Amino acid sequence: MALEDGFWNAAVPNTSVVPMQMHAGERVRPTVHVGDRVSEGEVIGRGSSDAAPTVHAPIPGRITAIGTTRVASGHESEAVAIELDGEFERLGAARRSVDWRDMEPDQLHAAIAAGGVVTTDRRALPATMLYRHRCGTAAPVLVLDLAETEPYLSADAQIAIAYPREVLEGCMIVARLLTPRVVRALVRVHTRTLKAALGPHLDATGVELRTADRSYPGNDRAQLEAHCLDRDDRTAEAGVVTIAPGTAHAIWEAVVLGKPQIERVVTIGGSAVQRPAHVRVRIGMSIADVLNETGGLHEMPARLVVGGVFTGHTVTNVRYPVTKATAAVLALTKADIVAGAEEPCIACGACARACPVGLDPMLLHRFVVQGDDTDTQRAALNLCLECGLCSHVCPARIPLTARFAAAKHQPKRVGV
Amino acid sequence: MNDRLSAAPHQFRALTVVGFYTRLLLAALVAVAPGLLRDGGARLPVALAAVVFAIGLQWGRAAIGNRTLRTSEVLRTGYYGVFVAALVPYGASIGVVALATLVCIALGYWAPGGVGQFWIHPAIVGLAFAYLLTGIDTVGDVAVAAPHVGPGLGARLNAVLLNPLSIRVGEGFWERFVGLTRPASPAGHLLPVLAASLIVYGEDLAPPQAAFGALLGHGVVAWLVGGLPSQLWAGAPFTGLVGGNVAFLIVFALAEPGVRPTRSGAALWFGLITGSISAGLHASGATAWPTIVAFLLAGSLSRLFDRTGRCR
Repeated sequence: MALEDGFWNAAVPNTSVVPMQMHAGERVRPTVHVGDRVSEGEVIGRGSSDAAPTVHAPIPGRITAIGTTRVASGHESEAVAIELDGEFERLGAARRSVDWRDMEPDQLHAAIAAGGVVTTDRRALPATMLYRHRCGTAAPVLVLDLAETEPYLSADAQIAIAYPREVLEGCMIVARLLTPRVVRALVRVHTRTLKAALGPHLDATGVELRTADRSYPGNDRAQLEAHCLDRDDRTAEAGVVTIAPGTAHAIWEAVVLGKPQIERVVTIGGSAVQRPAHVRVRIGMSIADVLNETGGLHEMPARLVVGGVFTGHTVTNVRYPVTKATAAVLALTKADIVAGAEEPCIACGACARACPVGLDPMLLHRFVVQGDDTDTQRAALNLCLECGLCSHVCPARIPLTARFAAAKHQPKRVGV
Repeated sequence: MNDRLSAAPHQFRALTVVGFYTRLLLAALVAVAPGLLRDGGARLPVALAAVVFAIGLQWGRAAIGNRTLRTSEVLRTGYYGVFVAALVPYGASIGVVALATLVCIALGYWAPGGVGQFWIHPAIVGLAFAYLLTGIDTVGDVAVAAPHVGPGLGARLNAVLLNPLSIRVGEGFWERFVGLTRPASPAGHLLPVLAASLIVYGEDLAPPQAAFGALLGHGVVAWLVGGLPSQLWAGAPFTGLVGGNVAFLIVFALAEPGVRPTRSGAALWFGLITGSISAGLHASGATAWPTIVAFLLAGSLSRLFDRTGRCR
C-alpha cells in the first residue's frame, strides 16, 4: 500500500514523555519539578551551551514524573512526563509574526536557540550550534535537500509541499547567517508535485532549483557536490552545507512565529500498518499512539523500526517516545524484511561492493571486532557515512553499521 | 563507486547465508546429476559418502566445541562434499574421495580459520592433496574416446564457426560439447554445468566478473597457443574447456565467496589470470591436473587483487 500524500495533525496525547536528550550534543537538564503546571511551548529543559538545545512542553499540563526513559536509538535520557491539563494557548490562536529580514544575525541565532531547533535529518544536531559554528567559514553553496533517497523517509518532502514558502524562507534565514554565494534546492527527478509547489516561490526567495537523479545515500559528499556545485564553485574553500526542509520549516516557525519545536511530521509505514500516511505528532507521544493514529496494525509486524529501513533503529517497546529526530515509524512484516540470525562473515564482498565511499566493511569489521584502533582504521571509520547499505546487503546479517557507529564514538585508546 | 545503487536494495536483502549455500548446493547437484547417475548411479554412493563424511566432520567439531551445528554449516560442508565427489575421476576408490574430503575440511576449511578466512577453495586443496598422495593419473580434464557427432557434422561446424576465427580444436570437440562423450569425472558434462550456471548467476549468488574473466582468459590463451597457424599443441586447450573440469571449476570454484576478490574490477583480473594459467597448463601438458593447479596457483594470489579498499 502506497503512502498517502499530505499529512494531518494527530490527536493530542493524554500523556507526553519528553526526553531531554533528543539531539547529538551536550546534556540538557529539566528546569521543572513534579507537580508544576506548564503551558504549551513552555521551557522544561535547558542546557548550558549551543550544543544543548532548549526543550519545551509539547502539551499543556502537569508534570507527573521526572526520571529516565530509553529512546529509539537505544540510549537512556532524562525525561519529563506531562499529563494533559489546561488550555492550548497556541492551538487556533492568531499568530504574531515578525519580519526576519529586519533582524540581525545575533537576533536570528537567539530566536533559533529559543525555539530549541534540532535538525530533522539523521544527525539531529542543535541548529544553533551547527550554524553558529559555520558562521564565517563561508561555504559557497547552501543546499535545501529535498532529495531524500532512503525508502519511507518522505515526511520532509511533504512539509515542503505543504509549506513551500515557509520552507524556502527558513532556508533563506540560514543563508542570512551563513552568507553563501548561492542557495540551491535539490529535488529528485519525477517529483512533479514538489517542483510545482516550490515553483511560484523560487523567484521571490532567490533559491535556484536543481534536479538530479540521485542515488542512496544522499549524504554522500561526492554525490552531493557533483549535483550541487558548478565548476566555478569547486574552489579550495568549496563546500556544501545542507539543510533539510523540516529543519528549515522549524527555523522559520521559531524565528517568524516564535513557535518552539514541539511537533514533527512522521511517516507511518510498512506493510503491517493499516493506513500508511504522514502525521504531525507532538514530541513525547508514544510510538503506540502514533501507530493508532492511522488505525493501528492489521498484522503482527516482524520488526518495528524507528527511522528509515537502512538507518533506523529496531525497537521492542512501543512506549518509546517520539523525539525531534524521529522521521518515521515502520511496522515491517516478514515479507518486507528477510530476517535471520547473525552468522559469521562469509567474505562474499557484498558490503564492499555496496559501500558508496569505497570502504571494505568486511575488513573494517574484523578490525573493530579485534579491537584494532590504529589511525588508519580510525580514518576509515570516519569516512563511513553510516548509510546502512552494508548491513542491508549482508547475507550474514551482521549489524555492520551499528558496530561502526559504536566504534566511531568510542574514545581512542591511549598507547595504540 | 557502488555498482549496485541503481537496483532496489531490498532484492539483495533477501539473500541469507543459508539461502546462499542452499542455492549453491542445488546448482552443484544440477551440474553433476547426469555424471552421478551415469551407469545406473554407480557413483551415487561415493558422492553420498563424501557429503555425509564432510557434514560429519563439521558436526564432530561442533560437538567438541559444545555448540550446535548451524544449518549454514551443514549446507556448506555438504556442498564441499559434492564438489570433491564431482571432481574425482570415476576410477578412483572411495578411500581417495574420503581422503580428499578430509583434507578439504581439515586443511582447506578449518586450518585457515573457517568460513570467510580461506582464500583457496577448500575442495581444491583437498583434491590437490589427494592427487599428490595417491598419484591418480587424471582429474577428468581429458575425456575418454567417444563416437563422432554424425559423419562430417563436426567438420562442418568447425568450418562454419571456428575456422573463420582461426580456432582449431581437438578431435571430439563437438561430441564433448553436446555431451555425447563419457567424461572422466561427474563434473565433466558441459550442458548441465551451463544449466547450473543460470542458478548461480541468476540469483546474485556471485558476481559474474570472475567467471567471465576466466572464460575470456582461457579462450584468449587457447586461441593464441592452439589457434595460431603453426597449430602448436593442436588446439587442445579449447577441447579442455568443453570436455573436462574447466567449466565446472569456472562456475563453482569462483562462486565460492572468499576465494575471489570482492570488487568487480579485481574479480575480472583475477578471472583473466586464472583462465590464462589454466589454458597455458592445458596447452603445455606440464601437469596432469592443469585446471586444479591453475586454480590453486591463482587462488594463492587472490588477496593481492583486492587491495583497493580505503581501509587497507
